[in-house]
Amino acid sequence: MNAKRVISVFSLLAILIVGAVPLTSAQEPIKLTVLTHWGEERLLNAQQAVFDEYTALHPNVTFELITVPFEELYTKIITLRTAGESPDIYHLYNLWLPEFVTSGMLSTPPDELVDAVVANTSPGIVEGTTFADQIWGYPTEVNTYLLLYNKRLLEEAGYSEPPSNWDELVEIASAITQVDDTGAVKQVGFAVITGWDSGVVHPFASLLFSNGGDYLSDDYMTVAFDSEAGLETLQLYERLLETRGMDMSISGWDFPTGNIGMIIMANWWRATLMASENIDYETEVGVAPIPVGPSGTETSTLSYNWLWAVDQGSEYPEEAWEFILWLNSPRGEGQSSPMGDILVHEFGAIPSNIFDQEVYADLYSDHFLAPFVASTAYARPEPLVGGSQEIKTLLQTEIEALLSGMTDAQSVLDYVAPEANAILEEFRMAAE
Amino acid sequence: MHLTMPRSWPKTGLMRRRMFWAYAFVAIPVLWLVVFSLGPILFSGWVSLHQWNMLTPVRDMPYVGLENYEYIFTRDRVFPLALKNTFKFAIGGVSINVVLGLAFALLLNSKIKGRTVWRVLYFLPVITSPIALAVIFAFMFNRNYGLLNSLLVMVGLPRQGFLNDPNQALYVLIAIAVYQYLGYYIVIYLAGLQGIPQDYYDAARVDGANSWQAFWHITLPLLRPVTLFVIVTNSIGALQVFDLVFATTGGAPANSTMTIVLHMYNTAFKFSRMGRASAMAFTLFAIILFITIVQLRLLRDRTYED
Amino acid sequence: MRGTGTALSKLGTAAKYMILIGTAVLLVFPFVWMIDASLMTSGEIQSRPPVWLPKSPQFSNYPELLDNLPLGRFYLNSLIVTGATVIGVLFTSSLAGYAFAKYQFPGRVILFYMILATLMIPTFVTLIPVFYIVRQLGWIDSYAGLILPGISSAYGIFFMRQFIYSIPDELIDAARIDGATELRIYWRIVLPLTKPALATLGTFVFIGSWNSFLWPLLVVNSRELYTVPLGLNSLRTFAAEARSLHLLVSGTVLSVIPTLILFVFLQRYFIQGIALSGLKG
Repeated sequence: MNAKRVISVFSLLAILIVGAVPLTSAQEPIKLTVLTHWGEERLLNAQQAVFDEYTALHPNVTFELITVPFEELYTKIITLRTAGESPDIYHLYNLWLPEFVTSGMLSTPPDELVDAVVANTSPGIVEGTTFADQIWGYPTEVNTYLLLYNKRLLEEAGYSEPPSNWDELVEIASAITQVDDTGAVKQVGFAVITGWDSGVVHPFASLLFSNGGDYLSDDYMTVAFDSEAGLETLQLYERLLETRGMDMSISGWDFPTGNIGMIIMANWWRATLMASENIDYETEVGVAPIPVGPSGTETSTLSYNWLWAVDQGSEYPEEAWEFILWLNSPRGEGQSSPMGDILVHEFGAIPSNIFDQEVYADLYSDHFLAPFVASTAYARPEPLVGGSQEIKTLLQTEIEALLSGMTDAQSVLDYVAPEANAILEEFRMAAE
Repeated sequence: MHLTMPRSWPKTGLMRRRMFWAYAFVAIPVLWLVVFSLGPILFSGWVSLHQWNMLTPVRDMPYVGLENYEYIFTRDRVFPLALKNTFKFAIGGVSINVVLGLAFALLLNSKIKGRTVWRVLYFLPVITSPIALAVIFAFMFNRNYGLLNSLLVMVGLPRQGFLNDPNQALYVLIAIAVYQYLGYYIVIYLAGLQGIPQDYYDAARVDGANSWQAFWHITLPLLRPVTLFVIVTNSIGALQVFDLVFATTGGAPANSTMTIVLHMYNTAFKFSRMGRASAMAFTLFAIILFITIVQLRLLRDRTYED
Repeated sequence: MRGTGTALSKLGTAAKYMILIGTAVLLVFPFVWMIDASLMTSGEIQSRPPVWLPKSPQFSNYPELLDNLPLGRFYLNSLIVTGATVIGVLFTSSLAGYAFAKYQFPGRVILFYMILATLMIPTFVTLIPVFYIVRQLGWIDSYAGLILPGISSAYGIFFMRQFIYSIPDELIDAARIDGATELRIYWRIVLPLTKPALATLGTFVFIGSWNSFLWPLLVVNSRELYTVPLGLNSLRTFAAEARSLHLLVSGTVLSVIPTLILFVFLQRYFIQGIALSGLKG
């Protein structure tokens, strides 16, 4: 063959090869499996709409959605993993991070995503998405706790303002409680939710923080709620019981039925309160900062958040992270993110992104949500550490025993603290 | 009633063929159970000697020997309490159910009008959603507006905490369990009563026996296999009670209604300590096995006797 | 008619009826409340003290439910899964129960106790290994995965064994003398005689399978395969639950109906007994 021909054949081949490569990779179909706890029909539609929007932009990416109720989400995640059937993308409760991370279950996000999280969310939320000095995903809804109160009951007892410190709390609570002559408690000034770990421990932690206390030591080596501040917090419950400000025959869940004066609860309860026929959302539901305790100087509260994360064994981690970043980024200048839209329209929840909060500022000037949004700026995240779930349940059981009158504040701390420290140590050693 | 086959007889072709069919009949059911039940149980036993949080692969589980067992018996504060509660629940629930089930089955089997209607009505709690039952019972037993407390107050007695009172909650749960499963046991006893030929009663009446004697000498003995089944399965079930407690109290208040299986579930799926949960499972298994063997011997399972 | 001639007939009809009616009212109450509550609004259901009658019956709850959930599809899936499970369990349990009750073979006692032993461990302990096995078999997210693992039941085998035990051996031996094969004896003689037991066991298996939640939750990923409990539970979205309570309750009522129909239908099989025409004296 002559040289010219050889060269032209080779150049033709070269062009074909170089030209063909991007074509094939763009056409490789990718399916991402997503696991969430949003199974209701309209939520399915909302999620599918977002998937469709993304597929329109990236035609080779399609999605499969798996949903289970929240109570079973953790079990589903574990079971899928044991058989190697894990999804690509999770929507996780941040308390599960320590465990998932130390088991090597999660993929490390790209720097681009990490930078976005730090730039767009408040420090408390960043902390709530971090474990072992690494951010593990993109935070979505953030929840904090504040003092909810029934304005009508407070006014009937002669109070126009909610309590700002613990002494006032005890006084107002005891004034609201009414017991009839057969011993039935008609209404009660303050209530707590029992039978559910977050329901018991989160309000406790909020009060603790507002009393200048800490849940864990700064280095996460030991618990710190066995301090004087912690003791005072438990003693607050004792005082409330003694002065009849609280009575265990009325459960905190009953607040929407209008027979409870005050309760410490999270913002996601909004939908229930709006739907209640016994308490008027607009005029009777009040929201106030957590009252400050004797050893505290300013109000504080606890927050927790959810986040999107990617499985370590995923076949397409880059594509998965790309989707998550797109999901949580503004659609355009001054616009909200697709995730922000879902959180606001479908849930009335608070998005982590500050720009989303700004876009929906009108909605969040609602008398209920505004204080919650404001509290995300100073809320302290639930500490993420190995063993935190067990410690939480331990604390829950003992606080419930205290509330049932079966033990006292000091004994609770004397028992829980050493056990909790042992658990912390056990998990720390196992992680090494 | 049996044609005994003494071992000294040579195994004829006939008997060998019958044995073949016996094995053929049990082959698939038993094989299935081995794969889907027994195998997993043995795996669980193996896991109980390790620490496993289910997120790390099985082959990386650290071996810890009997440490899990040691923990639950010496250092776990909840386990002994759960054991005690479970036993109370099982003894109370089973004895009441067995007696009431038979009593109502007899009533419903006798000459009354509209038997079908009665049976359907009595069976309704069994098919009512457990959530609905939990809600109704919470209403009934509520301290402040519940029906029961209203009745107590009417006769001048003080209000009771019931499900809120650590000393009473467990007994309320027993009542709910009896309520919910009464229908099951009535239906089983009814099926058993059908198997007793009317001729025996006719003959007895001819001999001059009264109703009580007929019951004691005919009904009860012939119901023995059914009664055995009822007691054994009811015990096995009661010692493993979970759904009821999970749906109502979740072990509260202060672990006074915490049962073994609920504690096991929390240990496995809340704390991710599958090794420890498996150790509890096997301890419970040993207890149930012991109790069942005792029951089978006491009630003299006659299926293998003359 | 199968009478019992028991001591209790002595109680006198009046007392009998009083006890029956009183207990019946007590037992029926939650069921009635459930139907009652299905016609209430979400807010009414959550009222404390409880509301006993809705201010105005919300019949619209049902169409609203059907708009929100493809309940028909879920029903179909549940019917397929539960139907197949019931047939499978009745078949395997009666076969094995018959063998254990009426045959002598080496290993009979050990095998039976082994089967009984499988009842003594709570099922969730074995969930994960079973899930793993099911995955290896490729049954994840399929009808096979929903039906097959539970097709053999230790409870069912025990149950049928106890009932078949009381079938007189003479019947079986007579058939053998007449030259019937073992299989034929099972099919023609034993099975018909156990109708009350089969009806009873079938009802229990139906209820258990129809209401089964945890296993289907793990094995199923696609919504098209959801059974009724999975479908209803998808209404529980934590925060939004309070708004959909009225749908949950009406959904529960709808889900309870097949079991009720089945039980009423099976009534006559509970009544039939053993025909002993040839065995008097």
